[in-house]
Amino acid sequence: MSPTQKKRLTVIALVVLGMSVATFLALQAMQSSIEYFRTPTQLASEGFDPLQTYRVAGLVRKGTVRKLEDGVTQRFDITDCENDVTVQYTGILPDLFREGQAIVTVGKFNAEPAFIASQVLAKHDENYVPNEAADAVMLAQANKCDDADGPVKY
Amino acid sequence: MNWSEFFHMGGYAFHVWTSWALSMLSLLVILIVAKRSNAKIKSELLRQYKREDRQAQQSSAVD
Amino acid sequence: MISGAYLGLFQAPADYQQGDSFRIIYVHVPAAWLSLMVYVIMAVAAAIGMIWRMKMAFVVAICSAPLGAVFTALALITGAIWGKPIWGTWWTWDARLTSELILFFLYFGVMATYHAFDDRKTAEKAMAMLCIVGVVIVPIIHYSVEWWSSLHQGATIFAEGGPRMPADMLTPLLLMIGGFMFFYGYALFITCQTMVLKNERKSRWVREVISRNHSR
Repeated sequence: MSPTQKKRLTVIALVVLGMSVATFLALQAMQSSIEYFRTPTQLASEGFDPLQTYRVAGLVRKGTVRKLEDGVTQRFDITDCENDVTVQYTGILPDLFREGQAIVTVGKFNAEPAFIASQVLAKHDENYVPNEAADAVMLAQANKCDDADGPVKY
Repeated sequence: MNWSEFFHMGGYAFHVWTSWALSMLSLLVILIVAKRSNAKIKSELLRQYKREDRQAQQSSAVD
Repeated sequence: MISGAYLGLFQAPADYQQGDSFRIIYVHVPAAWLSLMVYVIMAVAAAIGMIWRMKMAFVVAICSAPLGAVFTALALITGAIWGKPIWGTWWTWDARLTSELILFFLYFGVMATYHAFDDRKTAEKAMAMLCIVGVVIVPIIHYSVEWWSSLHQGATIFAEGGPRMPADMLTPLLLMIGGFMFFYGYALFITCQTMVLKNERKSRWVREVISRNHSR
């Protein structure tokens, strides 16, 4: 490599480096807006503002899914195995909704405090499991918090 | 494996087939367009060179 | 690609919770993977062109751009089609989706930059710089699901401890990715050849090659 070429290589390497550093700093500054959702533990430690819209995610806790008297509204708790949030939603829940499923929900807290959701999405994890193994996996997921010590990631 | 089940894709027929069709179609279109441009430039250049050769011959014949 | 398609559609067992919808993965993941791979190739080619002043490198870069854009669009669209039944939404502004969208615009930026200049040398340099500078988005897209909380799930193939997918689901996927890669290579070869012929039409070697190979 001739000296000119070496010089060009250095320039390009520095440009990439500079760009990376700038991007890194920008992303650090924007961290809170890039995070897609808050976990129940984060809400427990940070507290919440009843006027603000949040996006909260958690696993549907076993045995907490129930319908209210009006027949359409449902309540369920979501958890990260350390803290829970009670979610109330009027509408059709996604196909994948079930105990142990990771759920992302948008809404506001009311006075109770229950989280009144305007949107409920299911978050699919990165595992792909064939039908035959389904029951075992679903059971394990529903009981996930039993083995966990501390908040789980999803 | 029965065909109607296959097309039905467990109720997700629309989603699966649209995605696949779109993808395969796009790839096909890319290939066709690329090959056409390629053939086109080659025939264009061929004609151009032939024309230039003829013109060169004519002008040298005149001299 | 054909064997991948066959296996993916016919043989792979249905996922327990997504049913057959997960078969979209067999086009979505290859498209997404290629959208990243092509950008990296494009950026490396651009750097090589800049450092060694190699014309061919620039050709590879500019010809890769539209291909990369198509892969990115396919990834986004098939992802949206998949997301609607499974997540419950076509689109959301999480880190993975947003950064992939940025990549899509970046590809257009590269193409637009190249065509903005009449002088080819300037066009090449400007495009190359944009390619190089934009390459930071690739690791961001890839690691977005790890660095930030997001709706899009984490890595299945590159997961710690090995792929989170049984072999009969994984094999067609790998085959499809390979198939897409070969497709890219082939399409790139043809488009590069076209561009080189166009760019160098005045030169002698082009004359000779065309006359020799293509006379009727």
